[in-house]
Amino acid sequence: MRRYGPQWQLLGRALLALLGGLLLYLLTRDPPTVSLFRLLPLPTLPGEHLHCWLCGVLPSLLHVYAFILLSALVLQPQTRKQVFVLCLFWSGIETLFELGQIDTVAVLLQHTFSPNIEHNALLAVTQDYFLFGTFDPLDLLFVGLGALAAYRSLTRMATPEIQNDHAKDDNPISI
Amino acid sequence: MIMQKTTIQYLFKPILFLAVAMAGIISLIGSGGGGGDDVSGGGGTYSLLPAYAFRISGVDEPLDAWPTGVSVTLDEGGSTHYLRIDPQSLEGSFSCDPVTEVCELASIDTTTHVYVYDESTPETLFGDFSINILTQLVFDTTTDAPLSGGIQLAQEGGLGFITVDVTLCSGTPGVEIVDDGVLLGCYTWQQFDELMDTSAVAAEQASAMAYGVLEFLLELANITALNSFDLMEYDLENLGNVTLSCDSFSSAGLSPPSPIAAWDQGEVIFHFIDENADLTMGPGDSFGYIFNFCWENDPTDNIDDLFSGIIELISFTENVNSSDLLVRIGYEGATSGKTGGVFFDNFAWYETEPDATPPTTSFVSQMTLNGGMSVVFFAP
Repeated sequence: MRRYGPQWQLLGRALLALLGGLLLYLLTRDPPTVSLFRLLPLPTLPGEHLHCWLCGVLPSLLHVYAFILLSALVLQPQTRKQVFVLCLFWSGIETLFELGQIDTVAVLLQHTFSPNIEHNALLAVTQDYFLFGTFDPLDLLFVGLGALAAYRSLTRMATPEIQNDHAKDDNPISI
Repeated sequence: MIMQKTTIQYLFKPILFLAVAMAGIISLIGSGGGGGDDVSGGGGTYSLLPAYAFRISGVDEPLDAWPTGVSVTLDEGGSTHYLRIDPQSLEGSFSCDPVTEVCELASIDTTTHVYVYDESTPETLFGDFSINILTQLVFDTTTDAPLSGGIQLAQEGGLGFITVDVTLCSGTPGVEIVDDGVLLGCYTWQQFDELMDTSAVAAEQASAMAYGVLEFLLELANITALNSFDLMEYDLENLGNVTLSCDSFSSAGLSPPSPIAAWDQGEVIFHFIDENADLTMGPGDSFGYIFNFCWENDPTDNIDDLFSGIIELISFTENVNSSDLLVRIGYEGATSGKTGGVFFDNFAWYETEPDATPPTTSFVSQMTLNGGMSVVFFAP
């Protein structure tokens, strides 16, 4: 039986996470609240949307997880510290965007975007993200969990020697 | 050759990482709100806060030839004036009664900057000028008149700097007009309102016009956005539109004004545009008015309004928080490639007055509006 290398496994996990997130959006979100539905010809599923507690926050976990793995595939971090920095980078970006959905922050951002959005679709969609989105502290928690899961995935796929060596901070890992 | 290969290898990772990072951020933005499905649809169930901030700003519809803001062609007293009003920001607050759901203007803030362009050739009014709020205008919500505050009209050369301070004139509420440090006069609100029709000096007339421009923009927001929020309570998702009858001239003992063939009883059609094609009304959808000679008879005033033409309300915003409180509503942003806001398409606003010998009626003035502005109310 053919064994796939760690890189293919990481790519597979990242794509699965992205597909899972997209499926969750299709099943649970009201299309007008999601800019992707306006930008891309995604199908709108008939009938009532699914309602579940985790459905609202799981996309945050899946998104940060997928993009940490994809970034690791490109950058090929060599040490645990580098993996940690990568996880910190993505969880930081996701946290900043989530904080931008706090109403008072969104209003400030709207003042920044409004004068320039007329001819820039990306700015308009960015403004929509902040204005129509709702800040949820649970999203921050799930971003953290997603980053933690990605860190575990990346360090577990390192060579056995490195997995067993926890003494040094700058353990080299090989993906 | 070796150098080139090394450089490409050197740049490959950062460029690829940049692409992944961009994809990550774009998909993050495209995912819209990440806080669950608590954004309600249009006309959803929610409660009002006791106060809302508002912001009106001029927008530029890319498909429209009109420049930013609202272009006004004013026919009055045999003269025609071409004006453009660009509210870079008209900001303030409304106070609301959460039980009766009635909201009243409470203040206009110092962050307000409105530009007025006299686009006639040659200029027929006072030239271009800006309107700024020097000290917050605080309104009496029962009389709709300011209790305190100050406005500045600024023009390079010409009029210079004119300030209009809310004060008492011989014990009656009104304003004091000061032109570059020189007091021009103190007027009650009624006198100030009528200054444009008197032989007052240009600085005084321009001051009255400046205040009138602020009132005009707020009235436009009222006619377009605020009224639409009530009309959304009709079953527009199923009906598509609703037609409402306006006041009739004959029931007021009058005949429609000539020379245009105004209807005796006009109508306004309010319709829903399902931008997302999801058969539900909510954020990102649009609305529109078609006014067919809609006359509003104010029994307390001899001069009444008659509307005819089209107003589009693009990219509805509505955000309700987890406590079911409305925290943002209006027309802004963009939807389906269209800039959000309220847009006027040759929208005619007439003022009518019964003649000396009723039942005939005449037009006092006619304004034709084009262009647009965004209007949004939000939690302060």
